[in-house]
Amino acid sequence: MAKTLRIEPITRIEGHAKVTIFLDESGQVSEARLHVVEFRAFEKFCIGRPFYEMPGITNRICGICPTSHALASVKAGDAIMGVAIPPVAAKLRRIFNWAQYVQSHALSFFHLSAPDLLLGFDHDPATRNVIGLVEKYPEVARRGIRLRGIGQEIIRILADRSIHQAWAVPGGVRQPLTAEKRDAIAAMLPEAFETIGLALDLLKNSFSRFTDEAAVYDFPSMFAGLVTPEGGLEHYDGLLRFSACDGTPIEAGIANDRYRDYIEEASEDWSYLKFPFFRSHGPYNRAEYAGMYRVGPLGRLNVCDFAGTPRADEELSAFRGIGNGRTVTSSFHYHYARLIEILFALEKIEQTLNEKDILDDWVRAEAGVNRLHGVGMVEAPRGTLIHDYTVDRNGLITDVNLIVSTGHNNLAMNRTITNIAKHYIKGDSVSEGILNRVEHGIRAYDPCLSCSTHAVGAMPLSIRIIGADGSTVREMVRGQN
Amino acid sequence: MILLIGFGNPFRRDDGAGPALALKIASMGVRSEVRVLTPQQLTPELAEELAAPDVSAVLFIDASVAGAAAAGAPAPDSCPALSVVESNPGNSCLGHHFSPSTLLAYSRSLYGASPPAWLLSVPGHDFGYGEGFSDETDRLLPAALGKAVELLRLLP
Repeated sequence: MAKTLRIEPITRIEGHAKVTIFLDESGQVSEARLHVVEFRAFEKFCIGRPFYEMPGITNRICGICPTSHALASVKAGDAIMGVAIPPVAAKLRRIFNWAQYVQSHALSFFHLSAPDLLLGFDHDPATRNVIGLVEKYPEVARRGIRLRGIGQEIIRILADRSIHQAWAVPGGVRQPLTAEKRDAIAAMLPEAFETIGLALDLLKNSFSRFTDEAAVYDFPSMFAGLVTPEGGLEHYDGLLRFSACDGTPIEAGIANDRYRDYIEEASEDWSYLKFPFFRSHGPYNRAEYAGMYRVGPLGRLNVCDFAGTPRADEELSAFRGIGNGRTVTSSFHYHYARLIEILFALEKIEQTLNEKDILDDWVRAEAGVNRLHGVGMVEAPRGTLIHDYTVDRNGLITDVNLIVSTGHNNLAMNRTITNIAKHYIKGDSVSEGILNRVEHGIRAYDPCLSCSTHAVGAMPLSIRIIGADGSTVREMVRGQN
Repeated sequence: MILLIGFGNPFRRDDGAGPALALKIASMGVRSEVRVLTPQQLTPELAEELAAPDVSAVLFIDASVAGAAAAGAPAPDSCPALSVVESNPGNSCLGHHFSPSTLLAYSRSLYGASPPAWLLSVPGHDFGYGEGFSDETDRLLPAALGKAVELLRLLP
C-alpha cells in the first residue's frame, strides 16, 4: 500500500509549513512536497494606499527582514517619482541593507543552523538547539548573539529603531549620517570581523563530517541574483542575472522593470507559495523542475564574477574550490555562502563609511507622481525581492505584485527535500535524525514562508505517517513552540 | 525595573494586542520604573534585555490562540490569562521568533540571569491583515489591562 509521511509544521523556519513524503508501493520515497499553508493576502491589503506609505506598510510583512521590504518599496517609490536619489542617500541605504545581511544571516547561522552543524544531526533533539550550543560552545553562542545585535544596532543608529523604521523613504532617506553615528558604527566592526572569522573557521572545519549531506543536496539548476554592471556581487541595486549551472550567464543583466519577461509564476493546489520559474525554460513542469533556479546566498555567489572586497574575494575563491571551480551546486553550502556574505557586508560597510561624502546632508529628492508604474528590486538576505506597484495619478496603489525571496526557491526546496527523503528514508521507519535532515534541507534556504503573525502555542510539532486510505499510521510529537 | 514586552504585529488585527496593551500600561504610570519594548516578535537578542542588571521582573504580553488553555483557565478564547513563564530549553522551537520560555532559557544560559517572568495571553480571534481589533478581543482588553496592573502593583 502506498503511504504518505507528513512532517508538520517545520521547526526553525518562519511561517506555517508542512512536509508530505510520498512512498510508492514498494515503500520507497517517490516525492516530497513542502506545503506552505498560510494564506498571504498582503497584496490586497495594500490597494488604495498612497505609494509613499508602502514602505511603512510592507516592512511589517516580516519581523525579520523589514529592512529588505522597506528598501524594495522605496525603490519602487523612486521609480514612480521618476527620480535618481542623491548619491549619499544610496550609500546610506546600502549600509542599511548590509547591516540587515549581518543580522539576518547571523540569526540563520548561529541560531538556526549551527546546532545541526556543530552538534550534529543525530544529537539529542532536546538539546540540539542554541541552548545545547551554549553548553558546548558558549563563546560561539554569545558571539552569535552579539553579531546579530551589531547588525541590528547599525540599523538603529541609522534609522533610530531596529525594525519598522520610517527612515528610508521614496526619494532617499530622512536623515543624513553624523560623524558621531559614523564613528559608533565603525567602532563595532572589529568585533564583527573577529566573529565572522571564527564562524568561517568553525564551519569549514565541519565540512568533513557532512560529505554525505553535501552530496545529497547537490543537483543541477540555474542561479539568479543581482550583479553590478561589472558583474560583481550586488545586494541593493544592479542588474538581474540568470546563470546556468556551470556559471555561464544565460541572461547577463536584466533591467529590474523587465523581470516579468523572464520570470513566470505557477501555482499548485497544495501550497499557497507560488512556484516562479525561468520563463524561456518552461512551460512549468514541476516533475522535471523545468526553469528551476536558486536565489539567495548560493545563487548570488554563483552568478557574480567576483565579490569586490579583498577578504570576501579570498573566501569566494575558496568557496568555488569546493565546487567545480566556478559554481557550487550543493544547497548544503548555502551556510558557507551566507557567512561569506556577512564578511562582504562588513567590508562594504567599512569602505563606505570611509568615503569622503558620507556625511553629506543632501539625502532626499523631492517629487510627486511622474510614472504610474514602479518596480523596486533588492537582494534580501534570502534572495531577490521584487515590489511592483501600479498607481493612479494621485499616487494611490491600484495593483501590487510582490515576489518574495522564498518563492524563487520553492522548486529548489522541493527538489532538495525529495533528494534527502529518497536518500535517507526507507519505508515508514523514520528516525528523528532523518526527519531533522529533511527539515534542515529546507532550513538551508532560511525560508521566510509567511511572516508576520504568531501566537503562543500555534506551532506544535507533529510528524504523521498517513496511509493511502487517509488513516494515520504513525504520529510523532516533538514538543510545542 | 519591570520589563514590559508586548509583542505582535499591529497590522495583523488581534496580533497587535500585545504592543497596544504594553504601551497603554506604560502610559498609566502604575510603576515609576518600567521599560517597554514592542517588538513584532521575540528574537534572541532580547535575552540581553532580560539579563540587564536592573531588570527585576518581566511581563510578556501577547495575543494567543491558545493562551487561556495554556494557563489552565476554563476554556480557550474566554478570557485573558496570566501565567508564570518557566525557563524551558527542552521545548525550544528556535524559529525566527521565540517563545517567552525559550527567551528566558537563553537569558539563563548565556548570561546567568533568569528574572521572574509572566505571560499575559489575550485570546485573539482575527489574525488577518488589517488594523484594529476584533470585537471579541476588544472586549477582553480591559480585563487584560486589569490583570497586568494588578501584577505590577504586587511586584516588589
